Amino acid sequence: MTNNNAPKDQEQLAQQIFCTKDAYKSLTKIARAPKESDDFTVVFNDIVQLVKGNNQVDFVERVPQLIKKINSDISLRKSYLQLIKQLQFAESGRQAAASSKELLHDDGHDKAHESEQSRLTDRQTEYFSLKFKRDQNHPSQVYVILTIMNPTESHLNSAIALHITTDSQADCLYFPLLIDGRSQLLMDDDDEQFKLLSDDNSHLHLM
Amino acid sequence: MLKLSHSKYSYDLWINMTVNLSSQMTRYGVSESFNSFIDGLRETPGLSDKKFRLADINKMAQYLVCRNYGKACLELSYLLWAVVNYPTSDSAHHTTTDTNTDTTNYASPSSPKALANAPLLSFFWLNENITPARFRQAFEQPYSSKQVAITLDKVGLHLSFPQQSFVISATRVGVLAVLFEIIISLAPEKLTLIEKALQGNLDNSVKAIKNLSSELQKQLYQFLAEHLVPAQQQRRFRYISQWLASKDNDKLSNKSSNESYDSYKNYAKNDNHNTKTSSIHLLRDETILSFWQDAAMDETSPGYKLYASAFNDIIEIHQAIQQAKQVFALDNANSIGFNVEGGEYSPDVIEKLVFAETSTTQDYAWLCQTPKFLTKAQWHFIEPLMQKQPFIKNLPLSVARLAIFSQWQASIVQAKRKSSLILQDKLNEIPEQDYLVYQQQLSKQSKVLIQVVLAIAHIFYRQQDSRYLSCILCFLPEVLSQQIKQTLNETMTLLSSAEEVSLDLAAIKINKALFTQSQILLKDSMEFNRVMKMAKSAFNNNNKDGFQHVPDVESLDTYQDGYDALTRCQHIIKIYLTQLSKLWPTSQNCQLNYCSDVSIFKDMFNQLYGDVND
Repeated sequence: MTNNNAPKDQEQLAQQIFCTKDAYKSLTKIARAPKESDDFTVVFNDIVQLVKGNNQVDFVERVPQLIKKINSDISLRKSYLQLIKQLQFAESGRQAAASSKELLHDDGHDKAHESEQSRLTDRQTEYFSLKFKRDQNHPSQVYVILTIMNPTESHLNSAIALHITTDSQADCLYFPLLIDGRSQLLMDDDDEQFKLLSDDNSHLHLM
Repeated sequence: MLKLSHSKYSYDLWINMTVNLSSQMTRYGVSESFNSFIDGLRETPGLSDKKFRLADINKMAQYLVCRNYGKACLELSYLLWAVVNYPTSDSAHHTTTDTNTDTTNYASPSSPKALANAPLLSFFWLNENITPARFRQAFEQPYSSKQVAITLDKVGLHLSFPQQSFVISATRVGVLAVLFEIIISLAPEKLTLIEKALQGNLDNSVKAIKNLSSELQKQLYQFLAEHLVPAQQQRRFRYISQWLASKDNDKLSNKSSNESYDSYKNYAKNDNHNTKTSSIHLLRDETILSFWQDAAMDETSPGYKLYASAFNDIIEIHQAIQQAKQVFALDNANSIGFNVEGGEYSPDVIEKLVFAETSTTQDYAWLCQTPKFLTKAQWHFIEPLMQKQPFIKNLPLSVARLAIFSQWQASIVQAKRKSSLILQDKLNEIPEQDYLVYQQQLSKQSKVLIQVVLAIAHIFYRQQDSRYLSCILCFLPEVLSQQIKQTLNETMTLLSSAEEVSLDLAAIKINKALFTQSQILLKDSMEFNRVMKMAKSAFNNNNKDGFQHVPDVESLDTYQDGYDALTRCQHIIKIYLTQLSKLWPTSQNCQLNYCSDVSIFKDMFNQLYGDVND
């Protein structure tokens, strides 16, 4: 059998060879976007690693952008929430009425901190607790003290990830290794993460 | 039965994903987001370092651009089935529960229990059983029931069903994990849907696996329909193939004119399809320059103002045309898989043709990541050469022009963005390097590469890895090198004949024996000793990332990859320098050529970016 369309077919073959190779080169070209840019696509594993608290330097640098993307993408957010539920060690849900609120022990001189803002609800669950204690000398700073009743080995050996979620956003922060079952962070009370953490409506997920 | 893409739930999510991944196309026929998606796969971290091996990602990219992912989808489906149905220590006690329960105010303990119900998440993401060793470990215990058996053998995982069996090679698990990451990143809800579809019902396993495979193929097909669209590439192809054909016509109508092409008469004899394109041509430096001069000034051309783009496309398209010609000349075109209905060649054919030689399609830019085998500047200097390596013999001048003048053009384009004053200054300058300096720097670069290779040799040596020998053999006198090779070969033959329980064990034994043997040789030879001292000092003098301390045994394969790439670079530099010395026998030839090129390029840049175009 002879091929009457040989020149045309040959051209078609050449074109396909070129297009395939060209696309391959484009896909496999390394380091297109600079590392610090937020121009990257989140793959499922990024969310798993975020939830697990992967502490590789490159990844930790990307975490804020990753959180931003999760907060602005309904599909990523859904995966994130589901993974937190699957992998968490313990959870503290939305807090009930104000009756459980405690006034923070500031010295009463700083009027600004006597407002509703300074009323922060400690979190108490069967597995962990979170207490807020305002710094005596710098009232805008708050000690966040995490206590884990029966910590796992990973709580003693690596940073502890705490994910915070509300209906509209999510964030995560890392506590240092536990010492005597406790770990603490010092945070500014106008810090966005702190606001989320101390929000009665937020869910806390300890990994 | 799987109904992944039919359920409204998954369909909605699918739409979500495709909306989020913008399908704005680049001139390379892939969307911006497809590029960035693959970038994401390269960057995503794992238990140690990156999760996926670059080679596995590239392999998957190969399947996707060829649209030849059917086999991989089937293999993946079998693997997923095995993971879901292989009993884990605690899964036997639990049945599936929905993980989407409502949130409560109560704390719940983290549970292996919950994860026993998420075997795919555990296998691919939490435990990362995606290297051959971890894969083997994960399936260590054979499992069999009335209907099925899952067992490991030397090749990989053997799955037996009543009517058939299937083997998943341990070395494929990395590529399959990349494929699964793509599938789940595009539609995360599939993770639990796939688990449910494959779990239990062992009588219908094969049917479920095949259904899944076809669902996965559909998903990829849909994705590629949106993100791999060759319209712009086809335009580039037509533009250049027409330009080349018109040059052919000119040549035919004026046979007495100087030859602008060389031809291989042998091929011409075999090819009697078309007189206009009847011979296999080699491009020449003049043709490339002439194409750029034409296309850069042509308002209707698909973007060839940059010398680099013009050069790249004309050589790639020319090569594709020659390759197609060869196929037609040597083979009956009817037998190579032309799909008449679709008007296209089959993915299999294209994949075989394009990826026959992988070394020429490799991007070595990872050499300047971690470990830092080269600095960014060192890599950028040899990058044009490495990218165009198949062409350095025939087009040495074009490659030198690319290295010198396309850099200059890039700086002019940048200046134009800043201000017309800066642009004017830039247009009046000349490139920082001339051809003579370029040659000298290439020789210098070659010496830099040698130092890195020696440092790698020292790393292997310190970790008692016999691979150090292959790194240093070329530094030894021929007689000694032969002697070492012979002694080691004898040891290898002796050991290889012994039956070993596993390939891994055999490799460990051989490595140990080779290393011990080489120690004896090292004691006896001054030369050998001298080279090892050089290696040590090369390592001590190297303070780049990955060379400050002797790395772990686990990461030595990366250093082997580095060694392979560096020797390839060195080989290319050597060939290229030889070509350049033929092109410019004396430094005077070299300077004359440079001066004339400066005037050609300056003239073009003035026309392209000078006052008229402001």
